Amino acid sequence: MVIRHTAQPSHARPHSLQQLLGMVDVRSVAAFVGPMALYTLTLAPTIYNLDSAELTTAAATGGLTRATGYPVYLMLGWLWAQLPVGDVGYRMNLLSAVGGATTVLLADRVLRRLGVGPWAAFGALGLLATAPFFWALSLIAEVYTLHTALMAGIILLLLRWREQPIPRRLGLLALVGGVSMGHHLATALLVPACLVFVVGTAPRRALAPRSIGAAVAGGLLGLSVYLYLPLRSLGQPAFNYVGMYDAAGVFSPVNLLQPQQLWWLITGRSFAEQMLGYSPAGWLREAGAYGAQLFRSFFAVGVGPGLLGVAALLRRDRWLGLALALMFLANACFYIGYRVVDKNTMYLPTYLVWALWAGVGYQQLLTWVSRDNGGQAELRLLRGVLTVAVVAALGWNWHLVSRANDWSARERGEAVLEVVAPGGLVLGYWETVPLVEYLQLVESRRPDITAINRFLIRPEDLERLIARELHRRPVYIDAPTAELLDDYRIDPAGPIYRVLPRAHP
Amino acid sequence: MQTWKRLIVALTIVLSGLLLVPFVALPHETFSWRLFAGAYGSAPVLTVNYPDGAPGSFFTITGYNFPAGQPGTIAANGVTLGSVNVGDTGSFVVIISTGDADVGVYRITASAGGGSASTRFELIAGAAERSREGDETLLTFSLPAGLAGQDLYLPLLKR
Repeated sequence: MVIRHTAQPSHARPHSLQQLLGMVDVRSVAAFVGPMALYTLTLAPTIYNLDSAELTTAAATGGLTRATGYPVYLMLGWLWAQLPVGDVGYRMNLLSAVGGATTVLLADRVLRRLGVGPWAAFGALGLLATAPFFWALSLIAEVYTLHTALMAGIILLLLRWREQPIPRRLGLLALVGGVSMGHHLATALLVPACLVFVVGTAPRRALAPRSIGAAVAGGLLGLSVYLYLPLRSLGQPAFNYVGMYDAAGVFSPVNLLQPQQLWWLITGRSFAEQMLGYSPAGWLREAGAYGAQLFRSFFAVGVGPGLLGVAALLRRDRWLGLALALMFLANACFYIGYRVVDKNTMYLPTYLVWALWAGVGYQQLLTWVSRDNGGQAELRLLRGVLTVAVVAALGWNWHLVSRANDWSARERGEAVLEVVAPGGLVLGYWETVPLVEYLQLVESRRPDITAINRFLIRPEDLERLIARELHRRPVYIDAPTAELLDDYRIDPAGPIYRVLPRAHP
Repeated sequence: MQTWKRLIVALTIVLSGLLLVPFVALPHETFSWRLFAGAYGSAPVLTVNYPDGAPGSFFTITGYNFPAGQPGTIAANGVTLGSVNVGDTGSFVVIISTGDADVGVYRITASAGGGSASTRFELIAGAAERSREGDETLLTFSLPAGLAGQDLYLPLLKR
């Protein structure tokens, strides 16, 4: 329960339900319960596909996932997966819903500190909560809404530092920053903004030895979450995406006890080729696509107030305005240049910043319209427009985003298990293998099947493995290459294909 | 400035983004894992069951690794023959009938959801006639006359 801060002495206790309710911070409760209710209603009912299946299986089984390791998600997810509600897939989807709702709650706390009232906050955060990708990623197991929740927490801690720049507060900021880094490496994109804000708002305090000591200690403590990865690797988890299979189908895990190997994992070197993956012309094209994505995310109406908020904040609160602009630009520029197919799911940090700007912009307008104690009718009309915009965004996006009836991933996984003959070998990409592994490792089904993610085996080793295994056991694949189609008979088998020797005349 | 004028300015700022709707459009894409499936997958492949046959033959064209559930088109030597729906596995099968077609080379191209792949077969007078294979209900396209191409071999220049 969120309790409003009052000047009541500590010995004064509420004597009635009315008094107790009077102490409840209704705005904070609404900021969390509102989006949480929306996300719960539209939540995916079971395991979802692709990264969701991988993250769910890794977290629930104490396994290891691919770069950048996500140790905080794995630890928190393991605990969360013990909740006695729904199946494990549902539970991990619910964790994303909590991440999304917490982001809205903390963003509201930030807006309050900036003097943004409840109507303006509702208008801005309502659009954030119902933005298609923010909403959708609150409905399936993913890392992004937990990342934005931690990011909102970091912004809140920056404001608390400015209010009282003492070493303890800087240490806490560094601690949360370190934990956030352990959750998602994109936290590194916030570091320049944090440094500018911390030093800019209280330079002497920030550079005092005690403050630096507190920051270093807090940061190291936060980053210590990375130790989970080498420690967990010692247990040789059944689900391990940190390593490669060879042509004999033998898995060789990366030795995470070696600092260089651990560094390779947590810095995402395996995705280095995708970073800065466009020519200047291509980057501009992608930037245009991102602009359209941002426009749609804020349902067109959040664009003008957001721009107003940028200008207003830079004018009246230079350091915060600069810090938010740096956070926005660092995230937008990095992901615009990141050459991956699902990058639209990665822009959520920029949406969070934009929502803060829109909140400030809305408040500017509301204050301006009601200036000199006049215009109550006009004020009501403007509030009505903000409310209608949020309701319209919710209604428009609901059918595009809701996953409440989406059992497709589970059905696909179960269809694969149904067609694979005893002892079969399944070779597939993300839309196939993590689902099979979830059903095997979490629900203890079909332990006789061996499933290998094709991301974890070189193409030439894959071909040699198929040639080797074809006469030993049934082999299946999910997306046959032209070479395989030349060399083998590929017969449809449910949602995948069975590989068979080509009959020679 | 009077309050109602301030309200008009405020509403203009709030609603200004709507002016761009005709150019950018509101959200319209249904969120699904299928949007991102195949991110690391194999490229689309098109296969044909025989490399050649006599005019009047039937060829079975099979597509693999296309974006699942997407509508697509089938073309022969650049001329669209018709449309096809990619199945949930990313594959589809169609038959090409060559009763009206001329002798020559035919390059068959399938395009769906941004994915595209080609294969080829040749109609040769006197070659074996390929009879229809597979399900009778399979979508069938007839090759019209006048589309045939020829393989062109350029001279190899070597310094």
